[in-house]
Amino acid sequence: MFEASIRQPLVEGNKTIADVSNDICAPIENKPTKLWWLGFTISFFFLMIMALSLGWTVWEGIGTWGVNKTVMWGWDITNFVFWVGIGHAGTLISAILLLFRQKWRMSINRSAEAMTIFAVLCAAQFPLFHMGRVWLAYWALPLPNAFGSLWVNFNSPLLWDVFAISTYLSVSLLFWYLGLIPDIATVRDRAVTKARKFWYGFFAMGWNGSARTWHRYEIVALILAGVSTPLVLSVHTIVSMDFATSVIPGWHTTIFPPYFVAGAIFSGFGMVLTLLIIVRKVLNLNEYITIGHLDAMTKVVMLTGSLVGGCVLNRVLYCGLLRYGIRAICFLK
Amino acid sequence: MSNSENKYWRGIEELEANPATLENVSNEFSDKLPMEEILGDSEELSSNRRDFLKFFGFSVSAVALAACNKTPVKYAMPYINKPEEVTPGQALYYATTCGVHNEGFPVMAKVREGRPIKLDGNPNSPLSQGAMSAAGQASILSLYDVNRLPHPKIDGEDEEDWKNVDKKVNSILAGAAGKPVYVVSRTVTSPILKASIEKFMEAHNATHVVYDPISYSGITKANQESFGQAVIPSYNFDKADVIVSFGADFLGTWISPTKFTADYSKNRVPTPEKPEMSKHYQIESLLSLTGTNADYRYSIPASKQGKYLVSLYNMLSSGSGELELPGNALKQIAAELKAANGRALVVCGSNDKNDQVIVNAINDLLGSYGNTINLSASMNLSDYDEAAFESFVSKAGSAGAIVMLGANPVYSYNNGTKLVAALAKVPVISTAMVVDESSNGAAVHAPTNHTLESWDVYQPMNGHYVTSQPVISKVFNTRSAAESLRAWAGEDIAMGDDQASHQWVVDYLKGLGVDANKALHDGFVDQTPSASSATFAGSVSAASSAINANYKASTGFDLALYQKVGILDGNSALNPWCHELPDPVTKVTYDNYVSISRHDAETNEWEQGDIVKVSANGVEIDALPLMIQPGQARGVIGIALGYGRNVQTTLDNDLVDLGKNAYPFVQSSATGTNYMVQNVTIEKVDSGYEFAQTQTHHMIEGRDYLREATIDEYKENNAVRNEHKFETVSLWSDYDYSKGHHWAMAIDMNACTGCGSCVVSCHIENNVPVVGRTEVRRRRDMHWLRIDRYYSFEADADETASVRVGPSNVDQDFKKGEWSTKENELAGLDKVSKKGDKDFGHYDSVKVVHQPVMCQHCDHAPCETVCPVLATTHSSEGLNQMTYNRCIGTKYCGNNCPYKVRRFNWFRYNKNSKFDYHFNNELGRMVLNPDVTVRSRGVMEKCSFCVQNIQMAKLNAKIENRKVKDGDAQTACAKACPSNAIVFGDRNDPNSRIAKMFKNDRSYKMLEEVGTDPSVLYLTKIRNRKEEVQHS
Repeated sequence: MFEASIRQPLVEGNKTIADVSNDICAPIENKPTKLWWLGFTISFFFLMIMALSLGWTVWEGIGTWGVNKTVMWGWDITNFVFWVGIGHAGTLISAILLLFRQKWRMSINRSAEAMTIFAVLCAAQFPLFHMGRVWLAYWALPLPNAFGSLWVNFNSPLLWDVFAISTYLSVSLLFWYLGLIPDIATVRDRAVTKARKFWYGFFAMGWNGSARTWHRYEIVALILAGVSTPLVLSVHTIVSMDFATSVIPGWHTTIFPPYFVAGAIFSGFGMVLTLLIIVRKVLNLNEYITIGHLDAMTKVVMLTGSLVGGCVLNRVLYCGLLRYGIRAICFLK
Repeated sequence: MSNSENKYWRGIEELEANPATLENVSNEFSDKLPMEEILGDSEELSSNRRDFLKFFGFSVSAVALAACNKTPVKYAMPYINKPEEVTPGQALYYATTCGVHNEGFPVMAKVREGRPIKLDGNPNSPLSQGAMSAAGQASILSLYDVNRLPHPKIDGEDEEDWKNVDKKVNSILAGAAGKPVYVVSRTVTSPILKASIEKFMEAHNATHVVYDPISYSGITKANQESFGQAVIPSYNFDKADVIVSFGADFLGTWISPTKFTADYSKNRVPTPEKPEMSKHYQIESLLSLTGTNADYRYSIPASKQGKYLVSLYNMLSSGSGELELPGNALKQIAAELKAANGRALVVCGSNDKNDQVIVNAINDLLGSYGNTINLSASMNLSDYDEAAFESFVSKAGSAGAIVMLGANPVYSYNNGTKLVAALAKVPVISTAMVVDESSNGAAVHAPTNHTLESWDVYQPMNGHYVTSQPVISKVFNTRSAAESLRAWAGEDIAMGDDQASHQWVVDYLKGLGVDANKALHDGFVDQTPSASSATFAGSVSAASSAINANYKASTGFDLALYQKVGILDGNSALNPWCHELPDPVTKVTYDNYVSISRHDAETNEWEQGDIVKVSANGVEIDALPLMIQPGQARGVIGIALGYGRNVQTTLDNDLVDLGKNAYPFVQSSATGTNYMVQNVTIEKVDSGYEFAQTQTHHMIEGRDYLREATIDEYKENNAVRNEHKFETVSLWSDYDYSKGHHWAMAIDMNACTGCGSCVVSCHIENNVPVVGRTEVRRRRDMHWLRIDRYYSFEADADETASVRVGPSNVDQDFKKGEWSTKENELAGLDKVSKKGDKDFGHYDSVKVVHQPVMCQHCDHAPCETVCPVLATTHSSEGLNQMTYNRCIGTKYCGNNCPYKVRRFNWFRYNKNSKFDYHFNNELGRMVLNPDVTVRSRGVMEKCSFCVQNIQMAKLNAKIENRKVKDGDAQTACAKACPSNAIVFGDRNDPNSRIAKMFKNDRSYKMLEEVGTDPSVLYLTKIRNRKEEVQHS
């Protein structure tokens, strides 16, 4: 294992490689713990509330939400923007940190990437279910159809969202899966049951740990990182254009793209931290997800938080002080 | 998606019988099925027997599953003998009448396949001038009211046969021998019905008693005294240059508001050729619709109105009066009235004889008779005599029988409880269409026809006859009251199909010396006598001393009872359109409330939404919410009449038990029914009531949407306030609209009075759903057209800078490259709100602007670019179109609309018991316009410029092989507008009215700076005020 004399080791506790495999595979190979059941119960409870609420929405209509004729988007758009933003941290960790050769990403990138996928799925359900007629949602896709020459409107930022989100989801899914392949192969190699051996073997895609497979793996990871990196910036920029390109006061704001991206990474890292602090406790991974990791992530939170703060300050300055300042000068002259 | 049509089709090609498709049908398997390619490698080209069976089995089960879907069967019944004039899909128009305001308002009924779906004013009659009030528009729904009695009833049991009804009535009348029989009706304007009543009176020695909930007897009595004629004269607001109204809401509810609005607006629009307009002073206690349109408005306590009238008279005759308005305004008014040289008009809403005698004296001094007032063409609105009715009430208990002929005194008579006790002892025969308060428990219900089902003639104005013809075969088993009365009088009348009534109408019209067919076709006969001058013979001194004697300094509040524009006297209690229409002044839907001035609320530490108990003279309303009304006089509270109805209904909606009945406060006296009560006490019992008020829904973020100026500024510069034109840049390549039509609209804010007629007209024409109070509170009313009402404060005498509504310096802002925004607006409002002023004197007098807003049909529409599925697009004729079928309901268009005119179907509003209005029953749905889709849940909708009418106009022109003329295509709002404030047409037609509006210097586009390039113009409001409106 790589050890730098001037840095903290990435994995604590003087682990051998066998220890690492044992520790990592423990949650999968053993029965879930009480804490795991607790977490699962809470999550499942909220999942059922979601199912119930969505069912009610589709049955009765969007009128069950608090939106009205002047404010037609409410929590739906807020949640959409929030969840898309959350996803950005995962991609940033997988892609940009890979390009910057940040080794510490190794222990968290797959869980962060998984969070990305679920966040994007969460995000996607809001624009989907906020539709008055959700059963016709596929009309927003440019599919050949039997409705005559009807096509989608490429001028609409909402359509850009459709493309942005679906691209983002597919790239994230690929990246996540790619990162998992060596791990799946490890589980396969340790499998004792037949079913486990078959399914993990299927998804390990014949990984044999040779230099050749590792070489291929590294190259594909690098390519995908190259593809994902612009997505970190573009997806939330496009989401921000839902507002920035409109003519409504308060929405029509050119600062939105960078503001949204900074906010996305800010809140995304916040979410990664929130989840990992629970995970390292529940799954007993304190020595793999170390304080050093949390420290590194909080630095990113610090930076992006300051960016968001700067954007807010800019708006306050522009709209308040600067505006009235200019006016005062005009009147005084 | 299940298909509910009983014809199936698989694609547009099939539906339209495309020849290529038909050919394809015959050789369905022309190509080999590509099964092998899908299933196997190319080497193994064998789909075996098992594969075949697999696919066969799958197909069969799929087809079987698909066929399980049960399709509802709908029947369309063809005519067996098609009436000659009916072509399915083509509307027919009949001249007939509607029974709101005064019996016999001339209308054109639009009839589709045998059912009337829309009423518009008769364009040729001077009473309607093509327009119609909100309540009149809405009255069509009473035809399709599920609460109507489907059959006659005897002792509460349904009875099919009218012969049995007649037998029962005859036995009641026979049993009444010796005891008096009464016929109680509203003022009867129909000579046919009058004749029937007379026959009935003869046969049964009965007495006819007239009862009107809203009495004008003060006016008739005053005219009796002044001129020897007990009439309500007709007022010609178009001929008046100076109008002074003391509390008369003549644009909203007083006498004949539609005619008055039409006349009034004729002299309210200055043009470059004639930059003049009438000057309107309103002196009133509540802020009425008329008051909102006045150039100068003064609020006075309701109890002092008579004294102010006397003061004005004295100023005119001797130069000085007892009372004066702020700024010596009464003196100024007197001077201007005199200077108008006969082109002046003073009206008063009071129903007190003495007040009206003074008004007559003033008008006589001014020479108004023969000019602005016509005594000969009198309005036949009030035969109501308080004394006669009171004596009836005291004797009613000992009557032999009472025939309730459309009157409902139990509800609206101030001593209704006494009447209830009397009616309980007497067999009542009612001809009401529904079981109302007065006919509840009647021995016989003999429901009369709806006006739209009857033959009749009305004489609403002296010499003006309005004919009524049935436009639908009877919806229920009903019989016209005139026929019933004759049958009960022992006459052998032809039964069924109203043949008798028809004959009477024809005979009556022949008696007038006119061609009956032509009269029925035109809808009216005008034999109005010309105006004659009259000599005033009343005693001013007697009237003024009576006024002074009656005036008592009040210790409590003055209560002014008023009518609302949609609800009026309360007759249309179960009409959802009337209640969903926001009140033109308060913008409150559904409720009635106690309105109060800001000063009084503040002094008593009451807040908006507090629930109060109101009591006076032993009458009490236990709980009504409090509404703080700017412009209301101090010491005065207002409560609307017409609420608290108790009609038997099967519906479960917000109209049941709505509001509180304020009629018990009304006081009758020898000088007329008095709608003003003194010494009223208010007690707060609760708080926190939330009004369903629409005006607060819209905030246009301080942008420049209203423009107004004074007449002097206009004379100097016709384009005042519109000098600055914005230079907008477009990202899109512009479409060339110069060929074909380019539809546009103009709204003259000078002519618009805010009456709400257009709102209801649009509601009906476009099948807009009614959503109820809770949904309005949630800001989800569905009106495609709203009228925004804005207040502004009067300028202080010591403060030269007047404050306009909205940002005060938009032009300057824009030159500096800045938009005026919300902060700016709030800063501006902060300056005028005078937070420190605890007296709230500035709230006593406010200026008001009404601005109708509908879809602006922007040529660069921001809604169109953002729809992901192209459900809203632009037509080559400049229309912003909404394709309901394509809409998936993302609502992005609504968000991106700067005018906030898009409406979303949050729920399914039809066939949904949670919205139990007319959309939820078969009968109510008959009023739907078949040319307009009823929108499903989850789609966006909005104003379409009545595209169905545009299409009809184009098709008619094509059939007649001509070009579309200006006026062929009309929107429902433009048609309904009594003041012609809304002009719609093709701006590519150089001779059209709308094209001229585009050249009018007063016209501007709302939010022009946003670059949306709207097709709707607004015309700057000009006020006939002296003060300079200055920019800060």
